[in-house]
Amino acid sequence: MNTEHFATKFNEFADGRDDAVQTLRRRAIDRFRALGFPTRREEEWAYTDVSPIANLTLPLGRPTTNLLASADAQSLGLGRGLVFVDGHFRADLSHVPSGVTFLSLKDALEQNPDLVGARLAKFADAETQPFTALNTAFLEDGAFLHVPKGTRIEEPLYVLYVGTEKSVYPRNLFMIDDGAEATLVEQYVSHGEAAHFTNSVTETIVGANASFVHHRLQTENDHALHVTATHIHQDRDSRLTNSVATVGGRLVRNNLRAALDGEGIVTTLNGVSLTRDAQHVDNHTWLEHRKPHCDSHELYKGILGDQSSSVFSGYIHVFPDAQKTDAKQSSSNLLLSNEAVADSKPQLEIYADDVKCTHGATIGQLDEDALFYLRARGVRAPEARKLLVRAFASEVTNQIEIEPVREHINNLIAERLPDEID
Amino acid sequence: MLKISNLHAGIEDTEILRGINLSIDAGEVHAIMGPNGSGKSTLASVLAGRDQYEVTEGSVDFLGQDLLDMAPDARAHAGLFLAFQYPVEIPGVSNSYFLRAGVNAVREARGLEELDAIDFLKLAKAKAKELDMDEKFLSRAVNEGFSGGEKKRNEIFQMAVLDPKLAVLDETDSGLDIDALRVVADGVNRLRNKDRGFLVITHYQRLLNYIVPDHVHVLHQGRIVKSGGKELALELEEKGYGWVEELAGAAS
Ligand SMILES: Nc1ncnc2c1ncn2[C@@H]1O[C@H](COP(=O)(O)OP(=O)(O)OP(=O)(O)O)[C@@H](O)[C@H]1O
Ligand SMILES: [Mg+2]
Repeated sequence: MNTEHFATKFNEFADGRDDAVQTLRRRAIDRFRALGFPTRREEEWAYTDVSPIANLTLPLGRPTTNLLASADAQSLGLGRGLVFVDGHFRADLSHVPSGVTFLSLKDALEQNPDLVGARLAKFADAETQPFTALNTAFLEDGAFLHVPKGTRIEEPLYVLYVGTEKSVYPRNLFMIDDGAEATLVEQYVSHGEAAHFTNSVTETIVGANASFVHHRLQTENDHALHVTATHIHQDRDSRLTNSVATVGGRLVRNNLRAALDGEGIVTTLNGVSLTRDAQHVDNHTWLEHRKPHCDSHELYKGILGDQSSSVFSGYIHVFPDAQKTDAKQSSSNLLLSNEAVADSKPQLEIYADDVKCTHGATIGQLDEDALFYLRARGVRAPEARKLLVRAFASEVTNQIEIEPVREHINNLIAERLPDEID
Repeated sequence: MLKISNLHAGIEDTEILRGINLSIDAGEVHAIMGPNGSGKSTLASVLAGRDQYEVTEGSVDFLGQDLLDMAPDARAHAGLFLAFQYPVEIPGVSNSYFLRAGVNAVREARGLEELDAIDFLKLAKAKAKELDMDEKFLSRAVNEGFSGGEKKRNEIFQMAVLDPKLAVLDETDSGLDIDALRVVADGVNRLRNKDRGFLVITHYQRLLNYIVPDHVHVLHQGRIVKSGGKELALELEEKGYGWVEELAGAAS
């Protein structure tokens, strides 16, 4: 595969730089070259063929100045916040709320190298994960949030990533200190219909008794390629919710790793995707229950039309110490076409004896009886299908407390529902 | 308003309805009685447009239109309503959201203006009150977790809101206690008028004490084997379905 293309791009990008993270980058590109792109022979990539990414020759995203006007950015985003175009921060399009350390990672690295440097790349594994290595090699910008101890941020924070026709490597670092609370909405959208590639890495550190709600919306165009890695580290009594809604993109792979590294933690992971045509969406999660008395809830739902496919793989590792673990995992898929394929793979490794771990997977079609009932009351067939699909998704979407975000996802699902339903 | 002629229908290779003839005029209430498996629900489903049943022969005219040629939602728009014997639970869809979608589709087909959320709620609350229903059920998911009796009441509630021209009630009385039965029957009687027809499917004469029919038909093995006035229901109750067997023997 085409690792050399990426190595060449790296040399163009890195030559002459000598900022604080240059050593990190050099090490990462070496790791990436050694690892290469994953192949389907590897268990974790058995259902997802990354060759469309490996064969890319897209140019690297560069800072832009006049691409996109402020009005465009506002119409693309659900709320005002940080805006990145082609992976680079656009101060002119952004609204940086006061009283919060919420800014571009690049600026944060310049302004506060000690704070950022102490945490950056501490949890994301660039040694064994090729995409994380690749992201780290091109590490330059992304969103940075630091909520200091005991601070509660009431209003949701927004990050908008606009892709055009480039390869971009956003790097996010979210630090929610002890007892702090915040909600963040991260949106990925396209400007135009060209293919673009996003390889993002997010590190999230949630302190003791802190709370962090993170919504991620992947609503890019049908040619977009998107690989994400989210690394979560939670301290005792913290609560974290990560929910991802995917209704765009040709190939989307989300890796999420969470370490529940203290007692009394609650981790909630949700996902909903709507795929059509030949779209492919793959959610992989790895949870480490390291300490006793932690709860994790995972719910991933896929709605699949046409020849699309989706994957859910959930790995749960319960450490010997982690008694009284309560881990619930479920994935369910609604097939709207006979050609759609959904794969679901739970993997539990349990080394403690007093735990509750459950997993369930269901695959079904639209309920004919329900459809007929709705139609018998006058609801037209397309509307009836939308109602039922919305209902299927609602188990996930209803957990989104920010109404515009919830409705945006509901509407996108309804709009993008394939016309052809078997 | 409804004319069923020589209707044959079945599923796969099994014929269930074997030549039904039945005419209902505006303002009339017809009752259909008959033993389990005689085809009552199948008839109701075929009228409502359930496509798992295949119509092999015959025709159904509804208000001058070929009913069998219409989609289920189009039948509802034309004024047909079916109260299901087994109302379907639909988790995640609220009663009010769903019913407003139905009402507005029906209104649009009739050239009426859409009801906005407020007007709809007003109408729905008024009808719920008439049927002695706690209005909280409006925000609950369709039939989810409803008791048997609540489901049946919800059917009559939806009928009242949708204001159909012909209502087919499939065993709406089954599983109701006597108070609920009265509420449901009152709900139906309130809607009785010279323009509206009813086809009431039941096993029990009891219901027909409250909803007094103009005609009673006995269905057996997919055919109407006897028709008469309201006294036929009494006779049937007295003599049992064994008598129907005899009638059927004589008829064929
Ligand atoms: N979907 C189906 N698949 C197979 N057989 C069916 C189906 N629907 C109806 N039948 C058969 O057709 C016959 C008539 O069924 P139907 O439900 O119409 O009876 P019914 O008169 O409504 O009975 P009940 O009084 O028990 O409600 C029965 O033998 C039933 O098993
Ligand atoms: Mg029946």
